[in-house]
Amino acid sequence: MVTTTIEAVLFATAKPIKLIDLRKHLDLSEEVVREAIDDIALRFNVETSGVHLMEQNGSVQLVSNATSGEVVAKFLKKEASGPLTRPSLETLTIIAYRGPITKPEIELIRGVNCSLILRNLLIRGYILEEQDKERLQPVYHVSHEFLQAIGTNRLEDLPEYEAFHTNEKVAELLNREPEEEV
Amino acid sequence: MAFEVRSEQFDGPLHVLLELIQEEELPITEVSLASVTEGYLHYMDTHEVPLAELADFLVVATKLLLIKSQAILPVKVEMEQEDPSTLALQLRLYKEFVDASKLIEERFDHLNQSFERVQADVVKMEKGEVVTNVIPTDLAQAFTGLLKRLEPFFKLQTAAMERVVSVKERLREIHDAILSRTKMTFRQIASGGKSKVDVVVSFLALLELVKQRAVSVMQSGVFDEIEIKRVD
Repeated sequence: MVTTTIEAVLFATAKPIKLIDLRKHLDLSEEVVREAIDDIALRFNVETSGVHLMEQNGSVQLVSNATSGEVVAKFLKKEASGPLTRPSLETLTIIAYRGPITKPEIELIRGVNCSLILRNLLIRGYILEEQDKERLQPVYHVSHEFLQAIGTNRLEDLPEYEAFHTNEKVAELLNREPEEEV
Repeated sequence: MAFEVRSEQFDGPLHVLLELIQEEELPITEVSLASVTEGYLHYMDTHEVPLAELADFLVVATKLLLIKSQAILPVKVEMEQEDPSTLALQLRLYKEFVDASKLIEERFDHLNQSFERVQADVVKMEKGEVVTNVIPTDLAQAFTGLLKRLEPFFKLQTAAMERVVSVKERLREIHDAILSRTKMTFRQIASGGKSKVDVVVSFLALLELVKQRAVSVMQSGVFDEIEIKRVD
């Protein structure tokens, strides 16, 4: 029943919905919502389904199956967005694999100032900026739009996501450098 | 603005370093970093590094020089705990992300992409009166009423059309008249007019002729006779 309600809400809203909002509005526990979402994903995210469930950064959304992308794009008369520059692509990759991540951390990995690239990616809608209360600075993560553009329902489906996301060396680099500068 | 666009496309210092090392087909180690130091400095000399990134380029340059000097100096000086391998490590990590970005790019270029549902605009209906008991004659009456209301609009249009034609006609009349007479007055032209509009049209035609330099006009005082002469 809960699953049905959530499925209906997701269909009707079309936009990404925060899991926490689902909990509040439907007065449900985190576990129940999680279970329902997993159930929907299990039923929808199969080859034969035209509709898939996308989850990123605590928000879920129903989207079209990526394998039908070409036909749907034609039908909607959607034109491909302009190509990304290599520095933008690199930055986007770092955010996708390591997000949520702060600007200094991105700059540490790329070894160069990234303000402009971040701004352009924000304008393109591929990344989102959020205030991190613990780190007291904005953190960046990729958006649903980004996942739609690369035809992936969740970041975990990216090649070698786990290896990258939890890479100890990266963590070491990110932890070490600020102390050096003191 | 042009500068900003360029700096977004400008390769960062690590990318330059990575390309130098890959050109030489070297592994990413301190030794190979030392050997590409000159190439890196040469790159900085020959390329206009955007100001926003200059500092970052210089940081890498100093790190390279430190590594190189340590390699050259035979005496092992216990330096501060600035580990030169940091740069090599950083570069190795950076390379992994560069490689991964190629996979992401492939996925971008691939036609597989999903779309979100376009939410329909909900148009709220205004609450209007619902008319009941309508018979065909009511509709006919309504339509007749509508036509009546449109009438002034059509009248206006035909009137405008007529005037345009008559200005042209009048212009020709005056022009013909002046050809045979060389001199005449505006009163003579306007006297044949039936209405105020006619006089106005005559005047407009006269102005047009003056503009075309077909005639010249003279008036000795306000409300005096306008004399029209042919221009030869």
